[in-house]
Amino acid sequence: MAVAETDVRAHARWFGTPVKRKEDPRLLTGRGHYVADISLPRTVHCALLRSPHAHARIHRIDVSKAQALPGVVLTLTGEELAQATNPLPSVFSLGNKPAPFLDYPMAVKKVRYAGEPVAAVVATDRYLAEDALELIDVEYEPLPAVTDVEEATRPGAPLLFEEMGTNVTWHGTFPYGEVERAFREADRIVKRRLYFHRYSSTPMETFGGIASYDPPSQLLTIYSNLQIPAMLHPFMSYSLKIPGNRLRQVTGDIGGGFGIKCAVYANMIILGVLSMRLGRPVKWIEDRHEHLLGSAHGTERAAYVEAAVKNDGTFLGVKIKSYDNDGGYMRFPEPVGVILWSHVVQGCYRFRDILMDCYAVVTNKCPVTPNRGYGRMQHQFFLERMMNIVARELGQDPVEIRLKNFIRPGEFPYEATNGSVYDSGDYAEALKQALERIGGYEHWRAEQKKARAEGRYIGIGVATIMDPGASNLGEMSMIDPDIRSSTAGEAATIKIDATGAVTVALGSVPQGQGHETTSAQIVADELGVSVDEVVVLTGFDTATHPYCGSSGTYASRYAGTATGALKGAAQKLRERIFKIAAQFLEARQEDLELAEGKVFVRGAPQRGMALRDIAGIALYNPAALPEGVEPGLEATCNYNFPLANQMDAKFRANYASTYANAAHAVAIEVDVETGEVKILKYAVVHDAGNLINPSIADGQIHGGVAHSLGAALYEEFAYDENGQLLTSSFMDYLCPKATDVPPMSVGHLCSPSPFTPYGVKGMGEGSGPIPALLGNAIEDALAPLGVEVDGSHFSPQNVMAMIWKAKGKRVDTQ
Amino acid sequence: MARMYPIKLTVNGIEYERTVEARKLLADFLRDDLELTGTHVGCEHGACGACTVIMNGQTAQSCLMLAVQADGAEILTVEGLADGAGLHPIQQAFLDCHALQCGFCTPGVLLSAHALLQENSHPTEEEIRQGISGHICRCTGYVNIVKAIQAAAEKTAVAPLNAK
Ligand code: FES
Ligand code: FES
Repeated sequence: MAVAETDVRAHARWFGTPVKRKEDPRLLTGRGHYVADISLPRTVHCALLRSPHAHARIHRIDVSKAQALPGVVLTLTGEELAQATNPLPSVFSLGNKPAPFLDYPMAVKKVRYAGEPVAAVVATDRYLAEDALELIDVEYEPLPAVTDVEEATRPGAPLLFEEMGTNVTWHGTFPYGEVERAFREADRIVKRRLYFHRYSSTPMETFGGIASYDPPSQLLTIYSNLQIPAMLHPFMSYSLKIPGNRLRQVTGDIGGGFGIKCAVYANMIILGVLSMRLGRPVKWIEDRHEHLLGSAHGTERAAYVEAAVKNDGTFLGVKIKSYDNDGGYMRFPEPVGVILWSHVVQGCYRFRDILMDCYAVVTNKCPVTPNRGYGRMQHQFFLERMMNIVARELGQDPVEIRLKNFIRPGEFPYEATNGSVYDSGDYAEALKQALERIGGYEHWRAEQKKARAEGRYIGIGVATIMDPGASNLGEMSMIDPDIRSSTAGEAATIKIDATGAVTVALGSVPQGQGHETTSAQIVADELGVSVDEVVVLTGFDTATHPYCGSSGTYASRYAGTATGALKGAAQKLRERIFKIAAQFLEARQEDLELAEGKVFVRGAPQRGMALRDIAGIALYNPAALPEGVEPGLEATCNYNFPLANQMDAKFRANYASTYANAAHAVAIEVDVETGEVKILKYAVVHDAGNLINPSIADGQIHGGVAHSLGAALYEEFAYDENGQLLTSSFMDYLCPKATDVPPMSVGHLCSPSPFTPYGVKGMGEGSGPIPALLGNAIEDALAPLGVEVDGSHFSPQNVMAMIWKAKGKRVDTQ
Repeated sequence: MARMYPIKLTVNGIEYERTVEARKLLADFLRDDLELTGTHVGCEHGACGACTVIMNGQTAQSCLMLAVQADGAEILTVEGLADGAGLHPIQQAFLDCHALQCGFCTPGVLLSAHALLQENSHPTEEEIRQGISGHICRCTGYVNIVKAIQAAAEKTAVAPLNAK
């Protein structure tokens, strides 16, 4: 196993310190570069007509009245778009298999979810474009809709794609270890059906883009807030039928992404076609209603979970049959979300006999895409609930049962049953500290007892989870073994110009994570300059930034990948600088050091040269360079995580790159009259190894808690049985406000990764533990009533429904 | 051609005379006609606070107003918060406390914080949370926003806010 240098370099000046963010001055003064802020000459504006039906055949679209409206310059129907483009490539095409169905960014002949685009209008301003939408006449033939994932799998269910003959678009079974033996040897098998609801992190900036086609050069430039432009570049070029070098993609500041902005690309195909037709820039900014209704949602999953356990609480194995409700289409990277729990297949625990039995299902809901905690939070919800359910059945304590099952600190690096290499951690210590931070387990058990005597319901919950970083796209092979990939990388270029100034460009696409700052910290340390002097280019550009196959910002991947690229590029420059300086200073390379913008002989700073002088020689006097030294001071590193491997014949691979972990603890009170859940104390202890910038790391944890808390208590994409979304505005889709997020106590443990430069681990997603955490706490609070939690959403109605169900009352939540 | 209406208003101390369609939202007017793109639009239905400006001394959601309704008004947007090139003490506190990530909600939150501190120079944590409860921030969990407003309040208690 390759073991990288784990120590933060001894002379690190910026790494590990709360450097103030370089991004902030522009964002604080209203001078950010968000996509909606871009205005190009001759821009025209697009609006999309969306289907009011969840499932319907389109018999006719008449755009003549819209076209006649003054100011309208172009209309485009789904059918016309399909004629102009190739279908959106599916994951299956990566293994050279035909897609199970054709998918275009606008409906062709049929709509499959309410909110699906059916036609586009371009006009001289957005108001006019929206006026024109009202003049389009569409003749629909409504069809019965199916929204429930299990119903959709049953014979006789309405079919979204008749040509497939089923709504199950993919199914895979992956046995690890000796599952049947574990179930034979178990003292007890505990079975539940659990359900994880549908929500998304709804970034404050909606989707948007400008496509600008330049006919003379045949270059299409797309400015957007897509968070994976490099990865989808070949897909988009295929759909648009233009070579990759005629498609340039640019991002600037992005107002939050959280995974959901992986789905922006389908809309960009529409804009690209419109702009190529018009030869002028076409701009589209989604509105909030469109975003909630038709952009993309996080994954909803129903699962049948079986745990094989010993009477002492030891888990031997689990079997999970899961059904992902993927909505109307399966857009890249689906169906990968269905198997993404391969990153955390064992959670924090030692059981190794596992059966993954995974179904991807289309229904008449909005399509899904990655969302903070993608695919993994659902699984960890199941595991964390099962820990508590089993504990309760065995009359054990939920903390004790976790301690019994945790992987021990001495077992790292720990190779999980599916080949994932958990790098390091101390899960028991994290849990212990989280409980201390809420005031102590015993304390809350005593409070609970007192409260019960007064007829009040206090509950204590814990959830201990993995927060892995940097997917190894080797996971694609689980969908189809013919897909061969192993990219978990990033690319960076560092340039020192003739003035001695340092400029950095990366393949990452930050949406608030502060990469300009953290990258500057790393480069400043490596090159011995001040963090203030390093310029990291904002955003991403396929034409000018380096990138690799998996570039982008998703899956908590920056720390595990970009740091390697930055270090690699910096090392190349350091080497070159030392070679040049060694010749001019007549010193040995190993005696040289970089600091304060100078290279000098260690211990004799007067024997030195400014970086500017080295750059001057490298750029203007190549003849004076030592033999074999390349002119110029620019270097690129295309880094791949060293343990990112291809999947083997037994479905084994190291599916993520870093494996941070976290323990969350909470004390709550449930009002049994109203169903309201009040958080009394909240704590999280997170372990992402060495932190590049502790305040940015804290900020990521705060945001992750708020998202997951919102999901557990407020946010839900609720549909009626006809497939109509009931929560399509921020009046009904409730995001937590400042008055809803409780104060939280945040602690860090530091178990460095032995495999990454600097011992860092990815973080930020947080893996969405609060549905499990609150589920556990609510069940604990309401134990005297015999309530059992099987879902992930705890709105007052849902909590009351659980109470009534336990009391044997008729449940009517409508 | 839709009928255009003349309006005259002061934004960040500068007087503008423009003609606009009756239906044009104030948010769009600020962003498109005046090119003040610091005012963001997050929902267009008054539920997120991203478009907040200060109008005649009060916070207002510029997505819920028409530009013609702002005729004669005095408006402060995020671009006008700081004097000159530096940062306003509230902006500085946000920078110091890492109170923003993607920054999309930030202009609106800054203006609400400004209005809050004008009215109440020593707000409690509860009052701060109430004061910004019209805003949605998806990135920060509000933890550092609350901290920053507290920090700004402490600073500005010494140097009173520039009334704008
Ligand atoms: S955009 Fe005005 S309140 Fe959301
Ligand atoms: S900082 Fe991103 S929404 Fe507030």
